[in-house]
Amino acid sequence: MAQDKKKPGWLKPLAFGALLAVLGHLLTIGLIPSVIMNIAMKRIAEASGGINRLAHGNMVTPQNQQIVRSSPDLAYSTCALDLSKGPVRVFIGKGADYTSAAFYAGNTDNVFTLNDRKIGPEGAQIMVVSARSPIAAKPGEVVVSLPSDKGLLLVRRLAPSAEAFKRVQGERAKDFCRTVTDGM
Amino acid sequence: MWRWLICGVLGLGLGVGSALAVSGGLFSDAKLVSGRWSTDPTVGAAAANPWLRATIARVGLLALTKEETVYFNRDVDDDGAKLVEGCTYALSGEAIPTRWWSITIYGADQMLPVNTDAASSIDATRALIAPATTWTGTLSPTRPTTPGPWLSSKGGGTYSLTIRLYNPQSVEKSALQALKLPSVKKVSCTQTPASGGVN
Repeated sequence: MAQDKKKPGWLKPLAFGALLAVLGHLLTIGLIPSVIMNIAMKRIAEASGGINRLAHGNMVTPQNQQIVRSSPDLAYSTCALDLSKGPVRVFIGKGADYTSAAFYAGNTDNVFTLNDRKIGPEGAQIMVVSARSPIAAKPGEVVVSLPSDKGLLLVRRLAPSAEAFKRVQGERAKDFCRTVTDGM
Repeated sequence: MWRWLICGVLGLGLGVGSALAVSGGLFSDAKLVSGRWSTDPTVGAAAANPWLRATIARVGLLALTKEETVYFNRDVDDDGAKLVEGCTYALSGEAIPTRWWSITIYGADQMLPVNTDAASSIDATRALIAPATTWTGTLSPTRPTTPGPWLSSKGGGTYSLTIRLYNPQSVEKSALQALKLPSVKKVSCTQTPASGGVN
């Protein structure tokens, strides 16, 4: 007596497809922030000549725009932060108009922003530390703690005209972003 | 075997595709509306869940929190029609209770339209010159003959506008909804523009 050969059905392959759909969805959603942030950090580090270095951008135009939704009315300075070898010191000079220094974690969260209303005439001394590194701030320094070793600093200064941009270039000339071991 | 392969490929494609669609903001329901302008208060904030975090990474990367800056967007005129390069619009606005504001035009790719008009934005310092409390301007692909600030849509295709409100007096929902943000009224159209995609 011959045994009935069981025909392969669609049920198990469909369940497998549904499982891959859920996994693919969750994995993609989870990876998007870090992938996009890594691309941004890589571009910024290249423009700055390395990590933990501040780069001052030119006036934003359609021809030189680097990132989505940048504003032509702002003068941007950027620093790709890597705290794996220790804290980073940042100095932001006082501006005559709107200025802000925004710190972003590796997952794109804006973890801290300091604007010119809280920056004294002597400028702002900021110590950036990772959540797992010891704090070694000087008196008067603002301490910013990032939840990850990698992050970004984005400084915005209001510069809606060529004249304003020229003024901003002078204001930000002494700004810096550097590792503490660089000899402060 | 081929059943497993087909279902696996389709499933993976569906999973990745749906993640990209969701994170692109297509199904965002966290909108706050003021006239034809809308904003997502979670932009720039530490998102509560992975979907919002992915959306923010794609459409609001390196944005500031609402206490620092509120970003309102629109891709339609006052009558609800899509903003398109082939049309000319009259802009009008008044003083806004914020420290400074600017309006910027972005194409469907979220980048400034590529042109050499040096008119990708209008800001408070140029539009509202004291003692004026109201302003009028033009949004068009060619330089207007009328006075007032100009926002060039040349090369924009189907585009959107973003108004940045720096250090707004209040970020309460009711205060943001009550803001009298600039109007965008269609004046004329010279051609039927091609579709530029979703903004």
